Amino acid sequence: MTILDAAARLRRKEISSVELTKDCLARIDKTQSTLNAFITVTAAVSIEQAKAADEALARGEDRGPLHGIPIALKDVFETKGIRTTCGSLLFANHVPGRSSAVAGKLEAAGAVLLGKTGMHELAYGITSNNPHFGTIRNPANLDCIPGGSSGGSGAAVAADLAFMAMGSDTGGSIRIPAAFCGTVGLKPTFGRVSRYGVLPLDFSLDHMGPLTRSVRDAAAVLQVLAGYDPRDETSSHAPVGNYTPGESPSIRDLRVGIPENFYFERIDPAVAASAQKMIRLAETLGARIVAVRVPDIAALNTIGRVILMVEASATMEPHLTRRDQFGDDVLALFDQGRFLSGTQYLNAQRLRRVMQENFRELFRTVDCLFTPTTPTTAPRIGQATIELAGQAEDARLASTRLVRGINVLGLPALALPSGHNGGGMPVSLQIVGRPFEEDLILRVGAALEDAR
Amino acid sequence: MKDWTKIAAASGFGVPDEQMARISPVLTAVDEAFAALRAGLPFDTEPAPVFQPLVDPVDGGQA
Repeated sequence: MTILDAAARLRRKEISSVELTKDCLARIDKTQSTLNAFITVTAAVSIEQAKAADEALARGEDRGPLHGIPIALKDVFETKGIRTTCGSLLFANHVPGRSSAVAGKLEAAGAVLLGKTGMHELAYGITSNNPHFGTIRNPANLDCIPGGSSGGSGAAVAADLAFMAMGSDTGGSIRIPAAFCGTVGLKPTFGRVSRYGVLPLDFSLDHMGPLTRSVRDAAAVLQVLAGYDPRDETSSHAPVGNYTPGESPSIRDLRVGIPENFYFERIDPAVAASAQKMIRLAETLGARIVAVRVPDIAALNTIGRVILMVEASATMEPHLTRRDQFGDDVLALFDQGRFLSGTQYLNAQRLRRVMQENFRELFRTVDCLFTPTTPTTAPRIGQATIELAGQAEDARLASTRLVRGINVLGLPALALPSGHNGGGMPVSLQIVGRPFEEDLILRVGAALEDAR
Repeated sequence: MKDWTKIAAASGFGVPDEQMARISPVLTAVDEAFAALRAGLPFDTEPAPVFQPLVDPVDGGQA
């Protein structure tokens, strides 16, 4: 059941928010020992909020589609009075005195908080194999990672533990778990959703967005979250659009760019076949398929790594003397960032500008881009390398290869389930749009979702 | 090629030797890849980070 299905049933009084919430809590309880999707479950708060939501609806107070819907937050979003760990020992006992903008807006919209989902330590990795809070597993195959860093959110939505779970995305951390777990994942434009009250990994790359079971659900969540927030210096004044795709979204004559270079190189054949199927589907819906050559994405990824490593290490530097508080993989990344120089960082930001201009040119010829979200389906837990086209590649770098650059550019991107491989593992298509054109990529996603 | 261990010692980073052995190849790879990109950067390109000056409110909030 999607958010919009549940919202309709709530209003027809076929079900109550308390019933929806109890169902979710029961499923969390049943799966926690295997999936480990949550760090903190707030059952008492959930039931209290659900009762209040039911009472408000009975009084005729309707706060919109999220009213009474059980949701979860990645444990990077501060929640007043509720522990927010960031998946780290450093914050294991951190009980914030404030709520993040995202948590506040969802609460104001009547959503019911089920708890805080597990994640890769400090949002700095893609496995969600957390040394402090345990390994999170993929509902499609318990031997596989759910992706990360928002791995608990991906697992929770895919396993029907929550109708929506929020993620954060610095180099793919919403889209990778969405792809590996088989959910929708939306990374909005940088500045579209406030970062206030989110424990930062990287000041200029962090984006906040939902993982959901449908594109329209993602649109409904973005409608609640989008908007300027003076508490976040990078928050945008750009007008908030109408993100609802409508009942019969048209993509006729839309120019869909298909990269001839990079994005379809060294990818799993099942991923390639699935993407081609979605391209053909878009064509049958009237979209114009346009072959394009994209700027140097390997260079863009290198620029992104330099920015990420420096900004992340700058944030965490005061804590790096407490080396026993970090997992090995995360500590290695924080150590690396300290070796990059000030001139390298600033030049990375200058190169970022060049890339932004190159992509602006590209987006004058197309309305959106289709690419695979990840080159493969979810790797196995503990798998360090992935072999593609006879070449072994670090699993983290491979999984971020097609998504990291989009964070550097700040563009909106949607991870859309596009099928399964022969082993039943989810495969995903990435739809990338121009800045602040979330409405367009959501419309394209909804049209494809309807037609599949 | 940069000697990352000497840089770590000179900078007082306190990174253990075994960690240096682990991260040095990655640092070299990133450093070399980035140097190649830097070579093509136009002289007058401004950086991209978002920055907004802070303005103190004056006269009841009118700046």
